[in-house]
Amino acid sequence: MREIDMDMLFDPDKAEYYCLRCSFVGPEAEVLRLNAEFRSKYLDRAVRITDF
Amino acid sequence: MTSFYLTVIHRPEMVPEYLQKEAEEGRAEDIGRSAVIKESLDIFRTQQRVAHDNGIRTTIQMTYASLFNEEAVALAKADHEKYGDEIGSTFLGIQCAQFREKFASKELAIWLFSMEDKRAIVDEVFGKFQEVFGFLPTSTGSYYMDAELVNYIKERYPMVKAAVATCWEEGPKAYHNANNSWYTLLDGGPWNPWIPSKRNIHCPASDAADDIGIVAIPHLSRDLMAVFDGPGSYYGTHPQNILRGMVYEDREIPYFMNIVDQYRAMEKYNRGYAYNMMFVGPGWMSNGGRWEADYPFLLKSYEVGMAYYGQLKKEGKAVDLTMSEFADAYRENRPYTRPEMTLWKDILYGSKRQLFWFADPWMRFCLDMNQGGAMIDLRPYAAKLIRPCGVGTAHIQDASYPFVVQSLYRAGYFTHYAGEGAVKSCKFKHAGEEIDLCTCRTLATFSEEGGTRIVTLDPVDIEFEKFTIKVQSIFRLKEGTGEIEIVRKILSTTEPTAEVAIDEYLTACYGTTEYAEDLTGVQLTLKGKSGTESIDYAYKCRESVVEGIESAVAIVPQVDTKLSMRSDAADRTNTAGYFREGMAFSPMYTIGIKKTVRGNGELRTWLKVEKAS
Repeated sequence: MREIDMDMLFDPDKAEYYCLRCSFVGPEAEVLRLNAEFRSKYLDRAVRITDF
Repeated sequence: MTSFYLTVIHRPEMVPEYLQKEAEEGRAEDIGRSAVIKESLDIFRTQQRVAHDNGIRTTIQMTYASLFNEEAVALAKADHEKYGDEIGSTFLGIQCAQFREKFASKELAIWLFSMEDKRAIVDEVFGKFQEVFGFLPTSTGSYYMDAELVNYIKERYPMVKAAVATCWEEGPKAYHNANNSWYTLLDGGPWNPWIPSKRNIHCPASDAADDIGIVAIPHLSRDLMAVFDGPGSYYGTHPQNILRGMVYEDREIPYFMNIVDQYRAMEKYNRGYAYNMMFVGPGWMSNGGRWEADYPFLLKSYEVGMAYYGQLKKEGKAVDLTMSEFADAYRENRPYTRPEMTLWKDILYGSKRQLFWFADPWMRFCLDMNQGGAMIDLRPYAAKLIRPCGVGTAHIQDASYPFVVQSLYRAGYFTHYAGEGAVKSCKFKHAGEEIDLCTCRTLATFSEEGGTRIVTLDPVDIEFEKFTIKVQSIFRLKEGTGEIEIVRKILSTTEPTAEVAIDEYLTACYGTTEYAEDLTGVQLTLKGKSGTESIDYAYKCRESVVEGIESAVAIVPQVDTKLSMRSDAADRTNTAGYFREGMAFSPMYTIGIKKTVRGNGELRTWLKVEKAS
């Protein structure tokens, strides 16, 4: 999940994404949830830092 | 007047990367397709407009393909006339029908061609540029420009004074992140502009005789912590990189400004000088969007970045220079021996972690304050390794400058049950207990005393079973010596009668990737009062100790490097030196100097990096 910068493919018949590199499979909502989870480790992603 | 310089570089690329995506989706490759060229030029036009709207001048690096496009040429000429943009040349974007016809190759990276092809391509690109514009460019670039390539350019086109010459820590980490398919293996260079050596582009030149004749500029200003730890293509001043790394929330991207401000703050470490750059092509800003973001967010990310540059300029906090202007400004006040340094602070994960980065003609190194100031990266620039890349050379794609310490690639402080990892640190020992400063998280401050830069770490407590000592580390960097003085000082102890051994060590290897190289023939030598001991590395786990140590030396012929540690001459009788050979399952060598103190006390050692031959 984002550790490798690789697009997933979409299967319209099943309305799900799947990965060529690993066994991940999931609908768009799950992809978005995991993307949000990936971002969550960046505690300062929304913080403007000016003290250097 | 501020000495925070900005360089914004755009390139009108006719066949951007998203064409290939379309090919994957079933459309046959057509590198001359007019719809792609039109969209690409529209994006270039938009980028130029956004920069100019914010009062920022640019360097337009014309791709070879764009030299055949009258509209692109006219745009460049018009913006040069109206805004004072510089028209330069780039070796990115060479692929087009004319290139295929002349060179019969689909290769896209200039540094990966054979030397014969590089010469021919340089002559063709510069010749076409002169034909189109009536003059020769003074700036050029690519993701990487090897020294052999730049030497040839300078020989034939001496007016060239600046080049985008490497991409900081774009190496195995970026390669893995791109599913082992992006052949920019370029680790080991400086993060900010430098004057390269004629022998190796990564190394800052030692003197005028070694000066390659250009000022090198890195491709992007990168996060010196996140890019070292993680993917090289997620954290830097390319807006798309930030979106790819998903460093945003609710479509706001303060991270870009945080990077820029941290680069501005580098003036504190570099005699008032600081630098930042953005270098973008059109491919990432397609109207159709990309997986990273839809078009409005792509555009916004670029506008936000340029607006901040513009704001800084308006406030008198930044000066926008073209590449060639910057090269002149940089050379005005830049002794060859002056190091580039920064105490980088985490701006991503919310930790207080700091890394201290240092680069001069002798070495590049990094200290990690999360590991008590351990040295986690060391590149022996003093060796000035001639290491050509491209087809027909020994390394082809591997253009990285070798390390002798890289703690991420080669384990670092070791948590495994067997063996050692590459790191330089210090251990404190008492009655069978051993604590490594790698486990003592701290912070640092920077100061200067004349020609000596000093990194002073906050004291840390080291707790033995029955008592505690307070230890401080100080790194003193005297300009022009190739030597680091390291002081480990016991400031206080709760048991003044207890003996504590201080063991300063360097565990190292060499290489450019995660995988071990052959250490056979590395020489480990101790010289001291009790004699001289020396071995040639043969994976036999040999160890030796010499009392009254003068020097503990590792010569690594494979990277023409001599690493030596010495103790304080006045304290020599109290110190012992040692080496430790590894084994095949732990392919490392260690040299160290140790001393036993009672109560307060200190161990002062020097690490010197030299060319071995």
